[in-house]
Amino acid sequence: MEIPVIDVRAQHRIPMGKAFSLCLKGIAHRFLRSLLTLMVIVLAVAFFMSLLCESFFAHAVGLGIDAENLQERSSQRFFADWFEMVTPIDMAKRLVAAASLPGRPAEIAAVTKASPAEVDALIAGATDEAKIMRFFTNLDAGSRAALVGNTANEDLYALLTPDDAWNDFSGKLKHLYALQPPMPMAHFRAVILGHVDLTARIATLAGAWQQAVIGLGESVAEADLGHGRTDYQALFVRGDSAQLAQFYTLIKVRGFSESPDDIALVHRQLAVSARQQEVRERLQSDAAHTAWHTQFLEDPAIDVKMASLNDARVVDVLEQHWTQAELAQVSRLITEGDRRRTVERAVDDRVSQDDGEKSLLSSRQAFLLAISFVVCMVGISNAMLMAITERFREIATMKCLGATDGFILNQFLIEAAIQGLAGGVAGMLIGFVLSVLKCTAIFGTYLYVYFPLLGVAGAGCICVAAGVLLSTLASIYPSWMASRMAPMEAMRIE
Amino acid sequence: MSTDSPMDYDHAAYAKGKPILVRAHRVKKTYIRGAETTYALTGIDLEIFRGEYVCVMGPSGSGKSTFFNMIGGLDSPSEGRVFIDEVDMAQLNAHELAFLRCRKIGYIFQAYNLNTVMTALENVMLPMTFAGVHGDEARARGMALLARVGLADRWSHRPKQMSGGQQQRTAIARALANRPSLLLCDEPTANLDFASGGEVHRILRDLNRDEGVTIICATHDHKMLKVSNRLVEIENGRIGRIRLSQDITIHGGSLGSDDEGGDAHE
Repeated sequence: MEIPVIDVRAQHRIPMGKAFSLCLKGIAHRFLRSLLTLMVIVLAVAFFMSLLCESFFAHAVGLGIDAENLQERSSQRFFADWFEMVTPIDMAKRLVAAASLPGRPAEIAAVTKASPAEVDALIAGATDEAKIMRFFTNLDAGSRAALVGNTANEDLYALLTPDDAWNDFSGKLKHLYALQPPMPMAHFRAVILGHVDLTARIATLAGAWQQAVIGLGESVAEADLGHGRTDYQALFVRGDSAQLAQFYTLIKVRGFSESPDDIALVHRQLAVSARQQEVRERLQSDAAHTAWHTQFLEDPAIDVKMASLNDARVVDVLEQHWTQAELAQVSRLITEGDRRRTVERAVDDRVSQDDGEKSLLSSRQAFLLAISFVVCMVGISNAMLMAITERFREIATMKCLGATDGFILNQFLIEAAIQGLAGGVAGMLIGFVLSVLKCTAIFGTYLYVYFPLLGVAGAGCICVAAGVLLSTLASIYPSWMASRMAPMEAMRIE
Repeated sequence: MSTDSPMDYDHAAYAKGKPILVRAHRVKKTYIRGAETTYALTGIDLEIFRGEYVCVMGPSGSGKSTFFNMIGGLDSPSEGRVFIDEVDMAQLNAHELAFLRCRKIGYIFQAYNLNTVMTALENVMLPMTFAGVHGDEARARGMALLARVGLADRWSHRPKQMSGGQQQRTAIARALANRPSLLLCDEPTANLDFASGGEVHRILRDLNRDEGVTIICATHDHKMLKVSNRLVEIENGRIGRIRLSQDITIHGGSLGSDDEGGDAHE
């Protein structure tokens, strides 16, 4: 037999598909062993997925409820704005808010009969003062102490009004290079000096507002709605449709405008709160005032208890005043409002809001997630190193049979990627199911009504990608170790 | 060659006309671990000819394994050179070494080192994959090799379903996958019973005799010596003695020498 002369060339490169199928064969047989590594990935990805999903769910449900409540919310604002007592401080806040609400300055001018120019000037003044307050509030403790000592916010204007105090302050501010004054110094000074005047003018405006609202009340009374009351809530609750229509006409005449739909919602809402108030009053004034009664009333969750009306003692008291039908109605109204409020609260808890900017994960969640990923990667690295130590003979033998370093590296990285894919998919599904269960408990059927299909699909893709990436990244070092293993290890006898 | 030659025979006459396949030239290997220096090999000169069947013996710690790794291209010497077919292995890069191991050298291990998740046929085909031989050709060649070692009907068995002798025969088939010109066997029969060991001997002998495969075999098995051409004894990191196998008398299951590494399996 003719033996060929040795002709050494570079080793043949194995195509990716072949390397892949070789790797799959190994994984299939080491499946149980891989399960442990898989668990680590599954846990981390499940955590990631559940966080993402919960965030998406909360956003979607929040948006849905927002849309549902848009009218209700606007009606609430309507009442808050128009019918509540307005202090000068409230007025200042309202002026600042009006700066960004088109139409609002005109409304304020119409109600208070102040000139639009005056309202604009007050809005500008209030906005400047709000800026200054924000500047002082956001100062770190050290800078603040250096600039104004321990003066409280409300005393700052008085402190800075005298010339020498102002000069001292502006001199110090100039030397704190990191601090930017909220406005040019000349303007700043003008706002400080104008504070007393501005406060007085805002107080006048607030007074005018109050006058207008009281005037409206008197008009309602004059209109003789039947009860001779200026209690708007009572009017809404007790008034029949003809009386309500009369009231709406009145307020429209005075320059208010709200759609009849909104008014109907307001009506419903007020009915609920009036009923609740009534329940409270009935319970308090009840003759059989006993210890449980006091305890019951002091309970912050009393609305919920009243809503269910399943406490026989409460029902006993109320039955003396209301019919069964009325009780049932109150219960239904309260339950409905209560349910929605609970969901809204849950949504607000979950959706982190930083100055209106909504981010998917809060910084705390991101931190936990980062830790879970690091732990996951350490776990995978460790498991992978173990696996490689166990398989040193196999690896070395492969090298004896002609495997290159690159091939070994490939094998382990492919294995890691497949593991990451499997773990990612499993973790994604588990995280999804868990978050659906959890959010169903919180949001109820709202979740299915506003289910964020696209968001969840995206989150799923991100999670699977994260699984693959985590696993592959964590395996780079162990795989490199494996690829560097000396082929003579194959000869070693244990 | 040094003047105090370890050879007990007329080497010049023996070597005449034989092409050299493996040449070790003043091979030394030192391991330095911290302050401690271990001299595993202290200078080995050896020529192995094409078609030869050489047995290597030596007590454990003698440097036998280190020497074995050197000529198998698994380790590099600290000093000196190893040539395979006049190719200096130190000159080869990682890819060329892989090429060499893949096609020119077949390795047979004491512990068989079969891939436990693959069938016998897949094990045999693995080196072909590394050599770029795929599909039906690889399958046909793999089956032929399994038939050659008498395991044609066991091609679908996994290592765990086979006896030690069958595993070692599979390993031999795998070592032959890319038609190597050199077969390196590291105590191939040490883990086998008498009958299985005999089977392995027969296969190796036939390979050497009929197909001219050069075999270098580390062993303590005297049956192996009988079919080999030369016996190299390594002691303390150097070659103690080289003899022609025909000059060795074997009696009573032990060698006619002071070697204590007798055949524990008999």
